[in-house]
Amino acid sequence: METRVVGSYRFILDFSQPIYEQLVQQFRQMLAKGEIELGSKLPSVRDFAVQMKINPSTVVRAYQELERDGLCEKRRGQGTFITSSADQVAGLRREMAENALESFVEVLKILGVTQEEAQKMIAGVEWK
Amino acid sequence: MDAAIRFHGVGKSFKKKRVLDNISFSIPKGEVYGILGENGAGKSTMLKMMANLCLPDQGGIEVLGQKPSWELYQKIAYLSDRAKWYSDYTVEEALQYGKNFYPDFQMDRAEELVEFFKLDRRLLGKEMSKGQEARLQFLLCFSRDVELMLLDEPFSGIDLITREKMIELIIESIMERKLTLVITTHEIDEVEGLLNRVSFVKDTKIVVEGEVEELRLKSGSLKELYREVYA
Repeated sequence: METRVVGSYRFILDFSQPIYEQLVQQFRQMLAKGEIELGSKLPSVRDFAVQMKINPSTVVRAYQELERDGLCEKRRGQGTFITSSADQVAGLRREMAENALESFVEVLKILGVTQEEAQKMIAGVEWK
Repeated sequence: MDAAIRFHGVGKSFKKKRVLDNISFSIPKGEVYGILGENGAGKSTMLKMMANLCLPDQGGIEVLGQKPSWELYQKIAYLSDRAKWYSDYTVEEALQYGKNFYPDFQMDRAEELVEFFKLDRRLLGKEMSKGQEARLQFLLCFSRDVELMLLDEPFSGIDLITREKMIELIIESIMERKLTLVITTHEIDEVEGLLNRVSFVKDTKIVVEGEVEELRLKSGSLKELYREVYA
């Protein structure tokens, strides 16, 4: 694991996993957590690649994936910008929470925990 | 696949020693390709063959769609630590030499790179540190307008700051133009994030070949794979 900083972004790179997926995942998390300002400009592919010491094609691939999910948009001659739609980001946050919930429920089901027990457990968790 | 390099069943021996055995693989155009392996594994011989500095005993090679030739060699930038022709030249003179020798040499680019690498123009080749030599070699190589660059162990024994500048220049160059880069190295850290494809050479053969992001899914990092292959 290595931490690499690009402008105001901090990424953790694990070279045993595909890099473009990690970039996408970490961007999604930062967005969902509200750490990235809506409508802000992403670093250029060149700056990103140089500072992360990664192949520019990996950055392009990550940006394309974010774009496909509607989380950023490319403006001709200007660069790539984070979506300015708060709804889009709220949707992302909900989707990520639902995915986490789904895997959480899967594990509890395997362990034979009932819904009622699970609800009690959640209610008892210190939410801080 | 539009290939910059193709090897078909290439074999090579020096005296009685087998160096490469039945090597077949291709390097797609526009990619950064790593040939990894221990010292003496045959990596440099493969690179020399691409540069037409060494001929195979068996099999064949195509470079940019042609058989290796002297004409083709002039269209390739080949960097090797062993070629120290610039010992008696200053940086300034080495640039002139580059300009006179290579028709594709871009003097304005070279001037920019002197600044980028913070090289003193009056510095003499034989008085350079290893890092300064590496900077000059990189400068000369990356000032050329070529489609294919072959870098033989470019990071070996080079200081951190110079290595970082080298990586930066590589990334900028592949952003700017369609360039195929082939790098031999046994230092994985520098190239882990940089390579599109890779082959691991061991005991005259390619033992692993593939796209780096896919290899990560299957086998973990290049470093882990390297340990697995060579331990």
